[in-house]
Amino acid sequence: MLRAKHITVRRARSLLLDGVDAEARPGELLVIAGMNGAGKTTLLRVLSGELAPDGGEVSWGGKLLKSFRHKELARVRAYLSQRTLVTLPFRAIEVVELGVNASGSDGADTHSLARAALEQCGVAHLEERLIDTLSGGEQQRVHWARVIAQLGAQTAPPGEAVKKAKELTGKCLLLDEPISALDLAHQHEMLALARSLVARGCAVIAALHDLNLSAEYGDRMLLLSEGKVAAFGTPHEVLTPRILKEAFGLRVRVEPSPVSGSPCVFVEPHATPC
Amino acid sequence: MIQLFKSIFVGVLLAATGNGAAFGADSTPPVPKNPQRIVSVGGGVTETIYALGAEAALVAVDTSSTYPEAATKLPKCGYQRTLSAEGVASLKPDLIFLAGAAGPPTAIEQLGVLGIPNVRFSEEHSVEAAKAQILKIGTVLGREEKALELVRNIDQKMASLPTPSGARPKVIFVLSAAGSKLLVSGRGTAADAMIRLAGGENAADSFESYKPVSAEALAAMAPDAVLTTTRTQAQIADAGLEAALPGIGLTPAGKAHRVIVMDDLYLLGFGPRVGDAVADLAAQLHGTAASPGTLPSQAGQNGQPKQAGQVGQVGQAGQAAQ
Amino acid sequence: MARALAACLDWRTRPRFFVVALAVAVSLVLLWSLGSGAMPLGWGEILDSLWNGYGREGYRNDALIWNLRLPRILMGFVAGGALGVCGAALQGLFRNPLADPALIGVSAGGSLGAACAIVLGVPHFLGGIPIVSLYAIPFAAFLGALAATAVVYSVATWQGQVQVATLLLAGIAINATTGAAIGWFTFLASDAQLRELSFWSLGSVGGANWQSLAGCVPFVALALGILLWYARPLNALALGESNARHMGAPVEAMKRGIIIATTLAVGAVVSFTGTIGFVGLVAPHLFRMLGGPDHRWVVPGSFLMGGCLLCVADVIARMAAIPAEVPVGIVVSTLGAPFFLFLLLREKRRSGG
Repeated sequence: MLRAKHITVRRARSLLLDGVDAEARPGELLVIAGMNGAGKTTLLRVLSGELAPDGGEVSWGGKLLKSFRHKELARVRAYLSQRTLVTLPFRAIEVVELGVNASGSDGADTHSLARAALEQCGVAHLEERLIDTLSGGEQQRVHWARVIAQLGAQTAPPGEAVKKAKELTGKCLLLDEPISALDLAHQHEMLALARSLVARGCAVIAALHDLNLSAEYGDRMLLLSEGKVAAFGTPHEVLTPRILKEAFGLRVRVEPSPVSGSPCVFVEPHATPC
Repeated sequence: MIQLFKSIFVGVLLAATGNGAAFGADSTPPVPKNPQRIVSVGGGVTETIYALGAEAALVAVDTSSTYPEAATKLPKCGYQRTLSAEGVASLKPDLIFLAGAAGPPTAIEQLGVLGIPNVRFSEEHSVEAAKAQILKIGTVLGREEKALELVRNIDQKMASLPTPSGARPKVIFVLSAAGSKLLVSGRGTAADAMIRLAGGENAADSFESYKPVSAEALAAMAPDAVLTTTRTQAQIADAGLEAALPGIGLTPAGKAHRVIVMDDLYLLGFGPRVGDAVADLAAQLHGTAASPGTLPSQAGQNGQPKQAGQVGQVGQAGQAAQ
Repeated sequence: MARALAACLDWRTRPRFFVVALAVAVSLVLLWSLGSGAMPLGWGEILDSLWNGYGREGYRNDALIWNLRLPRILMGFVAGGALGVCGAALQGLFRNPLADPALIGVSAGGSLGAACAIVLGVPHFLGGIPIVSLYAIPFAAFLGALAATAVVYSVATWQGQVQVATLLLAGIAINATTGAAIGWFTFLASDAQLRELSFWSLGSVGGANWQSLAGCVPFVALALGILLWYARPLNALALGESNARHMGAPVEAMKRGIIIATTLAVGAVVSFTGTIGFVGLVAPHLFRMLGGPDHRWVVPGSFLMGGCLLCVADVIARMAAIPAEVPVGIVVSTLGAPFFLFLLLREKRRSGG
């Protein structure tokens, strides 16, 4: 259980986050939504332990985040950013192996664990390719494989013992706009992958732009507006025209999706000034 | 192989306990009585060996040994300030003479470690030091008589110097006039010593060693004559006097076009010819030069008519004295 | 046989194989270096001196081999290795393939310290002790290197975190400042001091003896240990500081450790050999071209490669102008500068100008 209480982050004279409370439960996908600059990335960085807040505290499983050592924390939580620039000519498999090392395993099976993670993300065929020769979408999926390897969440190769149910309960995955570079098919594939991790007990926190995808895949939503919490609850509770008008300044209509029944947001056209 | 590693290990341990050269010859190997292969580092030292008639045993000299002509034909052992110990040792000398300017210190130390006897001299610029050097070389090479003769010559020349009457002429020594940088000698250099010995006054004695001098400072120094070497004279001739020495036109030396040129080893070497050099310089400074004349390269400079009688010729007097 | 060949071409084992091959090459280069020099010695004489010559009186070859050539080639190897490994670590730290130990001000500080010692001289009360006069310049150079890097490091540290971009800029500032100070010293220097100063700045391993080697080796060994320790986290750093932290890499400790290690090793080396450029830049690149970018191999490999390069350069320096000796810094620059240009062009092409 990741719990953040009254988080405040100041930069120069402005408040990036102002008294934000959040929590993510194991086996749940929490979506953080909001306009650009609302504080999504800042909140994620605080939740990951990278950024120390100026006020408030974050605890993981009852223990304060800042009391964890770097290596310990790396074994239980992974972070995937929107874009990752790799400055060395590593191959895809080597990048994923970095994730395997971070998970604490350092044996002879590093290579096979990395390959399993690549397979899970559908990029096993890119194993030997240099990462900077891949397309943006392919690179992002390699990094997905890396964080999965870091969590030790790759599915076992056939023939191995089936893993215990909910074995990822003690783990947390933070995702910062992880699907922006992906095409439609791969967006759904990666979010489905996130849901499968959730099904195995992992706590997943994702900052997403697309409200409809958030509603479809998320269990709960945290809507940020100008550094403050505008709404917190299930997608049905959060995605209402009144709340969205306040948070985004847009007039919307919310209808249930014909496919999944989750709320879909449609923006009403408004007169553009010019 | 184990022996090798053991030896290296012990060597490093010894070094760590501060015991450097654990073996090999000690740092002052004895000078041989009858050296057959001599390496001479230093123009003045080489000159002395030739003057003593002991050049048969010379196998190599440094790049500054330009006199006599025969010395330039010998194999070179490098520049005197940046010697290589193994390089010099490969010439298989049994004795090395090292002028005061020889270096670097580590190379000289290494030569001692290799067991090659060497004789070092100080870098003092004085007639006394020059005489002591000649006598020492003479003693080592068994030519004491000839050495004494050379020293007597020097004494005679020094004694025959006219006693300075009236104001001492102000002189500046120009080391180099390349491009926009004019290097003039201050106190403490060989040139400074020579000027004073010859009865002149170094107009640039407000600083030490060689420093660049601005046109205004040069004009303020107001030298009566400019002293320089043949190598630098080529630079001055190329550019023209005023261009090479900006500000000189405002000085007595510039107005009279008074530039004294002497060969650099002859003037600054403090070797056996030091007495001649001092007398030569004195004569030119006080206007009693034996053979006045103009430098060919200065004729017709800037369209100005050449000034007669005040410009000296390259070391002629010195050569005559050989 | 075929399997061995396949193994060494397989990217997974290639780095390991290459490091071993490099170690073998280094031994060969050291032997070749021992056999080269102005004095024409045959291998029979060399082996005789090595085997029996320790402590033996009266043989000039023994002194030549034991006191001149051996310490010199070992110093060349240690100095080149130190520069190479520090270059590799700094290129990993700055995530920039053009990083070099000189960037963080180590060499500049060393030069300034040496200039101080050469021009200002040793204080009178210390001058009487013989060992001081011999080691005054290296000691001053070492202090200068430490001081310069300490300044650069403290300027670049904010709230306990080292900002890499600021580190680079601070390094540039220190280089400029020490350059100006050295300019003043050059102006004030006498003729003899000037020659000593320029000779020092050209770099040479000619003055190496067992004492200077004993002075360098502990620092270089310590630095090598620290850098090998941080080799694996350096890989993670390639994904950016933020991601490296998320993956458990001790980023701040690593930055501190690498800077301290580099300062110690390069400071110690520069203080005895003068400034030798390019090795720190070129050695890691040469290794990476065949051995890949994994720092677990690049770090030890760059040490071996740098040592090899400097040894080769020193042989050229000793043999090119017998009986004189070219300062090894010049040889390295002559070979290194064109390679540096080639690197720049390749980077330009790769990043699209």
